[in-house]
Amino acid sequence: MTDAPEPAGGPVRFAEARPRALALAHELAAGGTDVLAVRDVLGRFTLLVDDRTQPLPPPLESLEDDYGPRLARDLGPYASDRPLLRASGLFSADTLLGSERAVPDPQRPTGRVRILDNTVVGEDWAQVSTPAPEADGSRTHRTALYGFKGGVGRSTATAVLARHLADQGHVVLVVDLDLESPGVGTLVAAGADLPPHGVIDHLVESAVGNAEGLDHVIRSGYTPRGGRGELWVAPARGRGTPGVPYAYVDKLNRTYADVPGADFADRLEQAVRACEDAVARDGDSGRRPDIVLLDSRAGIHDIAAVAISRLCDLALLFGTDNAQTWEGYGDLFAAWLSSGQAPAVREKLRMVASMVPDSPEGAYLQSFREHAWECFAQLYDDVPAGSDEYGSDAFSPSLEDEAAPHHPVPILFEPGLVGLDLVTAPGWQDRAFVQAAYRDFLPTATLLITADPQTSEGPR
Amino acid sequence: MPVNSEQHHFAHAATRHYEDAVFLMDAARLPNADHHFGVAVECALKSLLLRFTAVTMDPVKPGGDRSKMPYLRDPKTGKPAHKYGHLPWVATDVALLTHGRTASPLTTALGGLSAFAAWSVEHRYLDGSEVVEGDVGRRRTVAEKLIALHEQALITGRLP
Repeated sequence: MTDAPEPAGGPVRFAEARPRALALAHELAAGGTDVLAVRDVLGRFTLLVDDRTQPLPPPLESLEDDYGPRLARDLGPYASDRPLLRASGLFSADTLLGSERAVPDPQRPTGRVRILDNTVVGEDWAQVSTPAPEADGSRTHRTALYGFKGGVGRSTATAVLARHLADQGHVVLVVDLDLESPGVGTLVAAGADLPPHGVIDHLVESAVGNAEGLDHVIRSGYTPRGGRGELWVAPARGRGTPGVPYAYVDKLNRTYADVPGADFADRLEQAVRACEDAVARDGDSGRRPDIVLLDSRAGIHDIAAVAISRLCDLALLFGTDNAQTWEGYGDLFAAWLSSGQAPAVREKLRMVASMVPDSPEGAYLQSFREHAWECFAQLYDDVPAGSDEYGSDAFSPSLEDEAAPHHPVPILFEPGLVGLDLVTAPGWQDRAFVQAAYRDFLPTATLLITADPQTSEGPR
Repeated sequence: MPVNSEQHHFAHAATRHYEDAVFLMDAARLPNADHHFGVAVECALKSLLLRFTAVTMDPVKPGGDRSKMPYLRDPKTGKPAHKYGHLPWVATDVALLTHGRTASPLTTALGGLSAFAAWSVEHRYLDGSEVVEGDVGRRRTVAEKLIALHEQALITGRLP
């Protein structure tokens, strides 16, 4: 049963409206009908009762009189103009009731109440899927590297990891999706001239059907060991065309547009795919990248939402052990939980403890792991008291489970890394302090990235 | 939203005119069906403009009566820069609605307004002999899409 706080004396606030609206929706559903609870962009609720194929059962015949005033009272300013509607009286009932974005109430997933949430941005957090294999059965491993807070060494780790994977013989492509503060492009290019165009250009040009012929990937100046691997990069910003202002901000201000037939998430996916195609087209070997690293931007932002929820099969979540980190991830996980996406997303996540300081007996990492576990517990299944934890199908890893999403992969803090210029310093990845910092991260990340997703060896 | 607000009235009037138009068209009474489809579209657009844009019906001068038609105030002079009267409207009249992330899909949805290019509210005074079924059918399709879009916008709080 959804817990609905009793209306208190004061005004109803945003977060109180949802449980109250859902409680009423379940009450209606118990009368014998399907209910869609639509929340508008300002947070106001409309309950849509589905009477398209058969009339409402007797207990609901006069639902407007029986429930309308209560709905208005319980939700206050969060009741819409017409908070209770019959689908049969609407022009747009099929569109609303048939919306792919409508999800069952996660608190009572087998009930007859679904939720359709309308937001201004960030809807892609609630649309989790894993990329399908290619038509020939091969799979491009796409990994998103994300940090709730910036400045945690995410881009540096991306560059180090990319070289490591290329050294292992993989064809690696790094895509800079940090459009608001590009950077990893130059880092990975390692002295090679950036291409004239960037990811941003694909987003702008494709909106007007003009993306053909863009030159937006280059091979890194770094030569992978062993001779088989390749390292490519798609920068967010290209070097431009001589004599023409690059107009980066003008482009950026248009990148988030939805266009007919493709919303922003589709467009970002197409941009990443175009970068992958360009590697096969421009490279001597003609090989497509088998590993793509998506350097996502920090924060709870649409690019991160698309990169983590849709584009990748593994997301490495960077963080340091502090209150802001856990509050941020906690908010994000709560959103996945309330949109019913916990089972879909949890198995592609893995925490990375970045900038891990020296501490006696690994106390820092232990504290990190405990905080991560508390945070991830939202996404894990509840195992009912007394039941056999290991015998059930519940996904509920213990604190100690080393393969669990919350178990941190460490990157050690090395003071030398702070002053290191990765663009100009030759052979930096061989230096002892770099090797030491990434000692655990590189082999573990490699294993996670190259495993088949959603299998027992997959990213968990 | 106050029950007596202009957008409330426009929203309800849009549905009423649309339903009456369908009723008349199904009875082969084309000239008045055509009239009501146009008024329905007009009302739905005005409701959308008042809800989602800077278009207003506030008094043009302080202390004056509320405006009889929606208008957009010129930010420099404070005077009405554009008034929204009867159809047909040219594309730029509704350009205000098309802004932000969803601008492009909405522009496509509003593209159908060209079906009303030859429509005039004054036709209600004519003998109706010019009205042909094909034109009314096209306007009906456009009106139906816009009414559905308008209804959805009212429920979700945003333009699709």
